Amino acid sequence: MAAAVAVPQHKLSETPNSRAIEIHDWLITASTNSISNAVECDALQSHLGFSLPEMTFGNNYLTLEHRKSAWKMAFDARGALMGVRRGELQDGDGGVKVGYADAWLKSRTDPGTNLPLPTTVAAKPYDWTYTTVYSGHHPSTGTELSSSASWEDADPENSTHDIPLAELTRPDPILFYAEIPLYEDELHDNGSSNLLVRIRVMPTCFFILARFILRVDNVLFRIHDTRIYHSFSSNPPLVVRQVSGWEAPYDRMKRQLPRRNDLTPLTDANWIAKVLSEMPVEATQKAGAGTRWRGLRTKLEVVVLNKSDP
Amino acid sequence: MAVTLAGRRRQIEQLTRCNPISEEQVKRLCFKAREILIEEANVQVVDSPVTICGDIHGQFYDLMELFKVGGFCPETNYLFMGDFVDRGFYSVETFLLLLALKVRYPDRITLIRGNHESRQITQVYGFYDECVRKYGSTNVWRWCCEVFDYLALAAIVDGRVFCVHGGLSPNLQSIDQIRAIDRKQEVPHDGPMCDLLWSDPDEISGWGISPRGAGFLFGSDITKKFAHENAIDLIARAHQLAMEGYKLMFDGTIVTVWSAPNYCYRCGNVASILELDEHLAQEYKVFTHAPSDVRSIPAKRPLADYFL
Amino acid sequence: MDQAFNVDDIAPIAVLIDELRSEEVQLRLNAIHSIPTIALALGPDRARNELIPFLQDSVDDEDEVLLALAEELGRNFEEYIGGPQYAYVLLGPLENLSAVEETLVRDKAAESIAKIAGVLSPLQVEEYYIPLLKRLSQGEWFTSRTSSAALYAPVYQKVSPALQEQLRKGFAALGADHTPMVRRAAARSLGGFVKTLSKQHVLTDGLPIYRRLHGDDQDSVRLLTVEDLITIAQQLTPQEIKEQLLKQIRVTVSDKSWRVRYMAATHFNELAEAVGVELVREELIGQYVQLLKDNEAEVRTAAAGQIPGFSKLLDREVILARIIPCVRDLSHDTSQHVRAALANQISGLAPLLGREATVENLLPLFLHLLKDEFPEVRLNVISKLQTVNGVIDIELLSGSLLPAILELAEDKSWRVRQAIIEYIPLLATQLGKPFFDEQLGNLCMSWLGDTVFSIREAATINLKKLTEVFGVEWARVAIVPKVMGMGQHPNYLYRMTTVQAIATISPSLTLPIIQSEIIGPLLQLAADPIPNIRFNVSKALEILATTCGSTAEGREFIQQKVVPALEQQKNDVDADVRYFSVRALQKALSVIGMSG
Repeated sequence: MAAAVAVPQHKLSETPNSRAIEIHDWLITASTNSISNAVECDALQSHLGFSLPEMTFGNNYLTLEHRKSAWKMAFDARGALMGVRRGELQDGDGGVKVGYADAWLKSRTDPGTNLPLPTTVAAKPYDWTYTTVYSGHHPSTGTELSSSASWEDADPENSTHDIPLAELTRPDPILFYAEIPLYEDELHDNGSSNLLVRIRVMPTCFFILARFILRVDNVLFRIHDTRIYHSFSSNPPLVVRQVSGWEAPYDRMKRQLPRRNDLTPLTDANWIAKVLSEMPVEATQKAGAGTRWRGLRTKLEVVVLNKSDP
Repeated sequence: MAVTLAGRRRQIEQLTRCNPISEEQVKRLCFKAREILIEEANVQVVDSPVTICGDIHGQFYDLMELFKVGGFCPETNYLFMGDFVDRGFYSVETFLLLLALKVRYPDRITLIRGNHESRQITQVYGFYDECVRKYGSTNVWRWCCEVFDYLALAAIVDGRVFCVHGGLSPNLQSIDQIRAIDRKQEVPHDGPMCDLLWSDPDEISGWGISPRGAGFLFGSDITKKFAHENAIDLIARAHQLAMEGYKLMFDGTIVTVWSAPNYCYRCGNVASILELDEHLAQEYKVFTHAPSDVRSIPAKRPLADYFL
Repeated sequence: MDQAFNVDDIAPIAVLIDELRSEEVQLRLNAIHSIPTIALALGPDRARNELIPFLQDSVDDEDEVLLALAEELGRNFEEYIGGPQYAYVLLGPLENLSAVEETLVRDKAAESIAKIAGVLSPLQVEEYYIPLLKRLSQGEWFTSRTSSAALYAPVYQKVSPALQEQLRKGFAALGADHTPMVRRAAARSLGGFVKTLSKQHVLTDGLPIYRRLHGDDQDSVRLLTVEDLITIAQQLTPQEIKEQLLKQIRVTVSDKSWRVRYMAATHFNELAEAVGVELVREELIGQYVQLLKDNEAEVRTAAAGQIPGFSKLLDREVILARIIPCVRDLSHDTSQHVRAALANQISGLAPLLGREATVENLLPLFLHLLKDEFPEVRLNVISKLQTVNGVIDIELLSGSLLPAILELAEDKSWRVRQAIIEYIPLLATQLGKPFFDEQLGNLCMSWLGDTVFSIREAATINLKKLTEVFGVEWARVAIVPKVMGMGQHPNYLYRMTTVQAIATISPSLTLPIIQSEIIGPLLQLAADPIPNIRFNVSKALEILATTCGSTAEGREFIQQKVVPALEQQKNDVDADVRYFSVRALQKALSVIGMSG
């Protein structure tokens, strides 16, 4: 049996809606609350300019602070929704319509229809699937660029510029764990759109997975994952971020079902993620569901936290 | 074999404890319900006082909470605006209880159809799976779906409050036109019946098409025109989650009533019911979800998981 | 038809085979559940020689079906195959099932094997069971080793000392297995196994296995040893515990994993009882205080749940010196779950502390918790206040708690209001009539107009209970006029409350009061425009008929007032009014008829 890893000094604290851990030079805080109330929704909605997801957890957040370098990072609904396309969808946005949209429109526009389409105003367009490639933001400035340290492409030759699966699969004790839902929408019963952030702090590292997962019934499945990894033993401190997106047509995923008559895996995030990420990249990151969504890729980045920075 | 009134009462008591009834009993209950519902109009006429409720979504223990706040049937008259099933853990018990009440007290409770009372939707959002899990076959689901086809599309209280699950349709200017729809069918993907169950009010003027590519949005002017032309004081609808349990729009001409507290067991929202007294005065009663010791609320803190 | 070929002979198994091939899981499940019937049809010999081998070799199905099979074979299935002397035959298919991947199936199979152990003769145990146990314990896959852990205890006392020694060694090997799943299974079964050991072997074998698991590097294993610790302690003398287990107790309570500490906190009272009073005072009190101050809210919550139970083992002075300071801290805990758990338990300390110490130490904490921002905390305090009543006297109670109670009577959470209402009759008994009328009378009436139905209902029940406390004459003056006054209210909900209050209170009133104060207004409501009011009047009249039927005056009253009203109601336009009035009328007529 592998020797147990030593558990470093750390301090946990808790308020009714948030929990925090202080470990090495880090302060990590996760806050989970009810969905936003009407006043909060109205404020956020007018800021964003589109209807919010049915469940918007506007007060939830995950923040990381590296005290020595003052480097900060956060995940919250506002940041994520700012990444949702407002206005007409353009190339690369990966816009889709519901499965029966064509039939619906045809029934209203066919010559001789007895259900003529009324004069309609253009409803404010936006990406109703709430697709986002959000991978966290830096709270002091709201943008990534001007933070105390910034992300650079990983060096493929450098073995520390990667997320070590062996370490993460080792059953070390989990010192701190949180699941932070940011938003969720059932797309008016046409599928589901969901962004969930999870974190676990281990004796040797912390690991974050922010997963956007989209199902549009009879159209497609789409996932956008942001993984963030930091080893407490990295020197100078290094944070690794892997961003990946996959997509597949609905029918193709349906063919992967273990039992043809049991559709329940299609609503199981773990199953969808496993199948999508294990299918050939040519299918899921090149062809996708034919939407030409810009999120279809895998990208590895790092940020070095300089201890001498104020 | 006919079921006695005492038998119906026992059935209601059993369902009130969240114990499902036998498959054979479901079959008879659904048959009897269809007999009653077939007599109802597309726009069912309802007298005040009545308590109007929005989506329930299989949250059985929260429905019990609703009754504790609003009073039990038959003491209180109820009008449920659809979406009884899907998403919650107890769609079977929820729908069968409401149906048993309908059969025992047809004048005291009105059920209208929501977009989830459909074969297609229930196969995706949980009711179908729940029926198969609890009864081992699809029979119960099939019988319930047959009942769905007979549910009224709308209701009108004292001729003044119009109740519908979703909203208005550009092809229906008057309530009389709704009466002409042949409702006994699966919810179609288009047309006026679909609109009644699916459309939403929005801060626009006139009609809009949803960015999803199907379905209508209707603005303040449309709402007020419909109310004026049909001599309506208020349109009550459900269909959309309202954080405060209800949401009035367009100078109080339309209200969304939402009756599933802590929706999907994790939203933390409150729910409400709308009590109309015998003078049609509106009182919104807000309530929270059933206490967690009752049963089946997921643990407050998720179990740590070695996710990758 | 060929007489030599009897269809009945082959049909049952053929049907079973056929059904087990069905596409539908439900049909395959039904097939498995029908194996007792099939065995019965085959007769014991063929069931044993054909059905069981078939089940052993051919059933490879979904977990649900396998689970059903494991269950059926444990339901005295030996009765179908020739009786207990053939029970060992069932071990074959169950052995296969105890090696599958799905835990539920394995557990069920092990459970069935353990049941079968109960009917085997010692010889059969040695011949069939022990070899099976060895195979499972040494299986290549962890699944079978996991299942084996639960199978030691059922036979240990049935076998020879030599085999017993082998079993002890076998179990020890499971406890040292390289797979955590197996060690977890060993930890889960150790308690049951230790109970079958002799005292000497508890010390020589049980303890080392326990110590090995207790020191495991996986917290999921360690947390399961808390219950083992208790079982072992129960077998030992206090002196032995001190020598053998003290270190482990200390380590468990301060384990680096909160889940282990949580387990320790959850089972702390059992542990305390197992180790005896002396060790509690010398040692465990310190450990317990440590758990009450734990970093993790879950642990504090669990520890708070044990407060009165643990304190019972302590002297009053020790409670005051050691427990009360922690209780004070917990009442200000940042986690509402901790405060809620404390609120549930804190009143249990009052009888242990006595009047003076309760007033000085607990009362301020009650008042503090009653103002907690979370309704669950407030609710828990109120619903346990009765325990305090016996300890503190009335002046103090009314002086300090009453203001808090009055505030909570209007709490925004209706469950808190409900808890207060349920506490009122008890309070009334203690306060006495004059004081009650002055302080709480109006409050009790105001609940009748509450917006929440359950509160209005609780309010009427409360009035009935108060009538029983203060008497009918008090009710006539203090309650009845106000209740009847609401019957004129323009909002039907108030009129409904009047009718329902009449139905609730009337059985506690007298006929003269019913005649002079109640029946008039009630009969007016029989013609209310709202059908719901009208059929509730029918229900109330049914109750009046039942209540008043025991005297001649009462029956005359029913004849003159109740029956005519119901006769009229039974022709109502509303179907429900007709239904309830007809039912009430039958009742009323039977009361008069039977007694007259």
